[in-house]
Amino acid sequence: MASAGSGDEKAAAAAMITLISSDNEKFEVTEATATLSQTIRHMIEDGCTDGGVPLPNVTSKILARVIEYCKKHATAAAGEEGSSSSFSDAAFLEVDRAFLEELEEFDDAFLEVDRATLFDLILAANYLDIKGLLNLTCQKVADSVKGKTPEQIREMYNIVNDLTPEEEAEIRRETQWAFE
Amino acid sequence: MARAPGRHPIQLPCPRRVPYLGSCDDWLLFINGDGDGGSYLLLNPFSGDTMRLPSLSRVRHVVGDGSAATMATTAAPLMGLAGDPPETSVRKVVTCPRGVVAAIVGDGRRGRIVVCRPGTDWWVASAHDPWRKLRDIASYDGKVFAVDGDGDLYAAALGEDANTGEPTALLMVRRVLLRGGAAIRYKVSMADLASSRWVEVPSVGGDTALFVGPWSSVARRVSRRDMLGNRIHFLENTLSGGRAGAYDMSDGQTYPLLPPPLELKQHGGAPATWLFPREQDGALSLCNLPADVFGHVARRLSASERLSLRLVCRDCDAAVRGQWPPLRPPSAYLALPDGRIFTYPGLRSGHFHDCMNYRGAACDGYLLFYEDGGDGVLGLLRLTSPFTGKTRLLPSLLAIHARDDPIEIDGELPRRGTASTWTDADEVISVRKLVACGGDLVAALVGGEKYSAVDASAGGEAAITRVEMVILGGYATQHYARDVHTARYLVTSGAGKLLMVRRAFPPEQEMVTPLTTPTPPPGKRVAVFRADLAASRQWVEMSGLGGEALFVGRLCSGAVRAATSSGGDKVFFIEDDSADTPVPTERWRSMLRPSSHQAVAYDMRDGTIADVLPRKVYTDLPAPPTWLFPDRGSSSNDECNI
Repeated sequence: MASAGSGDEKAAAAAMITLISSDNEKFEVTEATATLSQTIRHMIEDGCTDGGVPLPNVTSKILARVIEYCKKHATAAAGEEGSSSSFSDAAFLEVDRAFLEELEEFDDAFLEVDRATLFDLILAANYLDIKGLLNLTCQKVADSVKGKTPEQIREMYNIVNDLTPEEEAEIRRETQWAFE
Repeated sequence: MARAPGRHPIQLPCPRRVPYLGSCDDWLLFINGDGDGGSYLLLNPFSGDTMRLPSLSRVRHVVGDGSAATMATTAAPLMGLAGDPPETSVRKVVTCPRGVVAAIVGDGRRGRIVVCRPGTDWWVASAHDPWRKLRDIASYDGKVFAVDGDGDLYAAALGEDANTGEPTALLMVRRVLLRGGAAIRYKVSMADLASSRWVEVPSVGGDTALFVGPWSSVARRVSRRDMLGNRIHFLENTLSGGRAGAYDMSDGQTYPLLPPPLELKQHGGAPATWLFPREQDGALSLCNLPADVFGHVARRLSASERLSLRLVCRDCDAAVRGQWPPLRPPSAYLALPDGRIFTYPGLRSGHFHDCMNYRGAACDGYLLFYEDGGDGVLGLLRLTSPFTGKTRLLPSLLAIHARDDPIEIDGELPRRGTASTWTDADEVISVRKLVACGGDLVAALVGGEKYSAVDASAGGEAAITRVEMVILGGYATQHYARDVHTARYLVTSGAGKLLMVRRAFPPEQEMVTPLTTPTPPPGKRVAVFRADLAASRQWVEMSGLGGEALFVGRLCSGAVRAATSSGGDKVFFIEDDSADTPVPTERWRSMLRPSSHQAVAYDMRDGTIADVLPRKVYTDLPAPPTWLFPDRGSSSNDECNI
């Protein structure tokens, strides 16, 4: 039985995809990494990746981060697949947990970015249709709002309150009904 | 210092009395006056932060291999090279990523780029970089770009870039003075770094405004800032003074930047300069996310967290509403005396603690409370809206002022019992019903057990000028009606007709001897009449409501136009187990026996009656549940979702 690692390498050698950022920087990634993006997966399926995949909505700075995420998660996915056959269940669970913990740590560290980058990552994840990354980043933004007063949210996101007192009262009135 | 777009002068705490030299972003640049060898100080008037920059007498020249040749003497505070200008100063400062500050130093004619980290002792310059006629520098894409008087652009690599979410293109704005110097035109070119050319752009985009000045320039998205786009806001400093304006690239016109009393004046050689507070470096904001992405975020929040989000700003409110459209406005609200209020339809409920123990309801959205004033004033009447919190006070019933003016009484008013006056001491008078009569006028039906009278109350002097019996109710003479209790409700239809809903309650003995007492046919237990005031002066029975629904109750009744055909032609009643007491009396109320209530819907089309609430409501509070119609004033024509 071929080990998971060499199989992965073979596939990687066979299919490298070139991604081109909005500022014309080129990134070579494996197909496994690239296809975490449904958008790119569809392009590969349609056979329109020759000469590189232009991503006019993603800057090189953000694309580099996105690729970092995809690489890690693609490796994790490949690792899980490969390891399942060669370990006993208990050992597999052990490995699985270690993988998940490592992935979680990676995700946490990955999200340690400034807000502008976070929003750019969200937009990129949305455009590239990378579910995991979109969930991860959106959760981070949602967490930043949770438990905050409107004023705290305004402060955090530098938003000016342009609601009149009447409009505020109207919103409160509209939403004071509990759902039963 | 100028502020756009609000353009109100603000006073910032600026601890230094000396004039500033210039600015960068939200920093003002000062010479550090405390004998520190001519070092500089960046002071942020918004935050009070400071950053110290080295003196120009301390410049390291870095040669090609990266080794530094330090050339500085205190005696000659210049760059230390042959051909240096006789006097150098900082001409412009920009902040760069990683806390680096870059500057043009030189005299008015020639300059070169130096960089430093604030707080360190040395500026760093490239030994190979000659003096050039540098006019401006900008930090862009991780590099420092400098443009000279001929438009030549030089790049100095620094490190990583900053991402502020603001427009990222390197632009050059040139002012073209037409002959005579009267008219100003601005031309904007974009650096095409690939082809090493400036490309003139006809517009900076409707979403972008440029702020340019001798010290600090920036491009800003205008959509979130209530400004016009495609404009260049300029500050110029000449020997004679400052000049400011907003040049519109669309029409080539220049508009004043500041209202006349705030013309720029030059103080002690310090030029006017832009400051760009950091909070305006608004990266793409929460509420400006594309709708689908915003939905991904907002879905992870609870309803109350989404409410907080809606209260942040209009954009956020609109974004949340885009994902969670508000339910159609309820047709009516059902208030219970324990403070609960239900919407109908939908039966969403809210609890309003300040609405417990109301005694009546009025004026569509108001509940009536009896209140004792602090200084012995008894029996004050207070109307409070649970929806808006607004309160109106009505005079005490102890202060009924009987007018002596004769009023015209047309027709015969039914009189039962003996005549009575308001001064009867043993009579407990209470408000039975209140209606708003437009303006500030409130009419109340007040009375004790036996008598009632109509009383109008208002801020000014209101009076009843005429009482006329317009319809003689002859319908009640039908044979079966003798032993039947009836309840009658007056309600104004949406079409402006005066309607009366009559509900007949079969007598108790009906259950015992159903055959001996004629009872009204089931369909006739509820009948709706229209007052024909003009012609026949009769109550005319109606077979349908023309798509309207009537909500009737002792305290408050209203008509609502139904959005669906199935919702119309219904009458909603509030029933209670004391329904055989058509008019509640204070004595009845004082018994405080628990009574059960139910709201029921009577369908005029098939005569069926259905419960509205999932279960009966038990209460021992003095007033029955009531309908409220708080939105009728503003949206009486809205169709409601019945």
